[in-house]
Amino acid sequence: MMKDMRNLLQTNPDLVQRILIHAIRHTSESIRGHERGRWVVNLSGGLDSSLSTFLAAEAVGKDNVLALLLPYKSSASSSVDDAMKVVNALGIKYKIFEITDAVEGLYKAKGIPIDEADGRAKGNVMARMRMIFGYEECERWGGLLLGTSNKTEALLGYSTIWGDSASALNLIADLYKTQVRQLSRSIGVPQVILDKAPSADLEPNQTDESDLGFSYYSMDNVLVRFVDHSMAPAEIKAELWKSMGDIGTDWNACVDKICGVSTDEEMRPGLVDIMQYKRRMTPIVPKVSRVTIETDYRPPKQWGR
Amino acid sequence: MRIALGQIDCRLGNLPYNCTRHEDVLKIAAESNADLTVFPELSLTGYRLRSNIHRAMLTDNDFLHNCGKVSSVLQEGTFATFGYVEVSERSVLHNSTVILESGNDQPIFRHRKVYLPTYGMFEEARYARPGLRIRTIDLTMRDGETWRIGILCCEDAWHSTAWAIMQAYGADLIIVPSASPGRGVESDRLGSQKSWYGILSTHAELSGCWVAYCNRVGFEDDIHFWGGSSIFAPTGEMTAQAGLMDEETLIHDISRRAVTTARISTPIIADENWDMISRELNIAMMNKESEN
Repeated sequence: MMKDMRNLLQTNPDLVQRILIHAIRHTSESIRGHERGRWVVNLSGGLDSSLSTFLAAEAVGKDNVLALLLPYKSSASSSVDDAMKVVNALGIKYKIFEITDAVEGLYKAKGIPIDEADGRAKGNVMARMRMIFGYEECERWGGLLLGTSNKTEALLGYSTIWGDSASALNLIADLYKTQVRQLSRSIGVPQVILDKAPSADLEPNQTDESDLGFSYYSMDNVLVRFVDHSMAPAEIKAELWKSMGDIGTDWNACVDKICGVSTDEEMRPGLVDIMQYKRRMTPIVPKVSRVTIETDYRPPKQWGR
Repeated sequence: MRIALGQIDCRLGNLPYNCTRHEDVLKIAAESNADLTVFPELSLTGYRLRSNIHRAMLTDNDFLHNCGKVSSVLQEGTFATFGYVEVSERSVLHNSTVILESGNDQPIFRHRKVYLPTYGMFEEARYARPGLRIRTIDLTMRDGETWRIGILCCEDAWHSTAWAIMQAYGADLIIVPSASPGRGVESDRLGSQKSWYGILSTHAELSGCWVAYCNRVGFEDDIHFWGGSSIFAPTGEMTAQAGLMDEETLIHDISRRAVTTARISTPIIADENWDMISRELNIAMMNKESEN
């Protein structure tokens, strides 16, 4: 049977949901010794963290999930409102802390007026501050931090290393954004969250798709061909123009940006290549001994249980 | 004969726990009067041991020491298969499956996994060495019927050539212990499940034999094993299936008569020309060699 190339991103939400719920319980069991361990999730009110929270509540029960709502003073007010819709729908525990003082405290310590802070660096400080809030809560409550990154942003490096990319279990990181949407719809994430434009919300009126230059749907269609089906960039372009046609995306530019360019004249790595360091977060270790961590010594993370 | 498939979860490197799980299943099998109990691939040690493989390996003596009490649970006249990491007398590591018999402190049959996948997510040949034998054993059950039984461990069953050897022996029952990771979620069932059932059904029919597939459940770090252990009749029909992802002991009766019926109605194995096949295979190999 020929694969339907227009439907490469179609997943089976029920099946995936079942696997992910098992994954949460297994991680609890292997780290905490029982299936219904506690989980802390930084809930932004966006699609990824909402879906992750729904799955966690289903896996370990509402009393074992704590949502942290961590707005900065410039965060969209709808973010907290939408996060509360998830909290209320599930009946889970929640806490709201404004991270403004913590973020501004860092700049104060450095003697940098907050208005003069570099936008991107400050955005990363915000993401890492949320990570610190998350881990602090985990230690106090005996929870594990649930990661909420998807496969699209992981492949494109649209994340803050050691910030939102830090967690004990990155639950939905093998699902493209388009597939996160399919699962979210099936599990009952509130419609207003499904409808809004995805945003890192690190700067006012920011959206992921304007930052990245293409729609998630378009980028996912490039990524699934490049990563999951090992197609060559030229092949991907030709195939996308054929199967997807003109949907307002410059497929050539989209493929070049994501997969890079490799011609007789030019060799330019793509976003997927450049961002590998964010996915394999163990830092590079120069090999000196015979048995180097990761290079040679590769034990499973979980041993004995 | 009555088969029990012990679709269990295993804990990596935790031999005492895994032994207990085997005992639990063997008790159920005994209560159900099963003749043969099958466990998944590497059932005593867990699957993806990686750099810790030397902490889970067992010599024959270790194996007997640890499994003596497990095999003592075996009802008289019954059998069970176990999977573990074997360190051979020559200090070579193998992914082995053995058949134990009640009242016998030595394994009566051993299959060392022949095909160790090292592509995509797999890295088996990095840690173990391949077995060099594909054989069968004749076992007589309590009802007096003798079965010719072979073992193909997981990836072994993806090689039609291994099935051909089984056909050459005329195996009546092929046991396929497995640790198959669940992958591919684009359709109504997992991609791995779809591939497996297709392969097992086809080969059961082409070989005119029963196939007992015992797959693991549970997670190891990031990967999960999907279960779905099942029995295929010599017609290729699936006659029993365990659920997905949860532990279960599946009990099912299989008849030697069904093998005879299948082989008479569709005598493809009897029609096989092994002399021609082995000669042509040799010639093909020589020709291929001259191309390299």
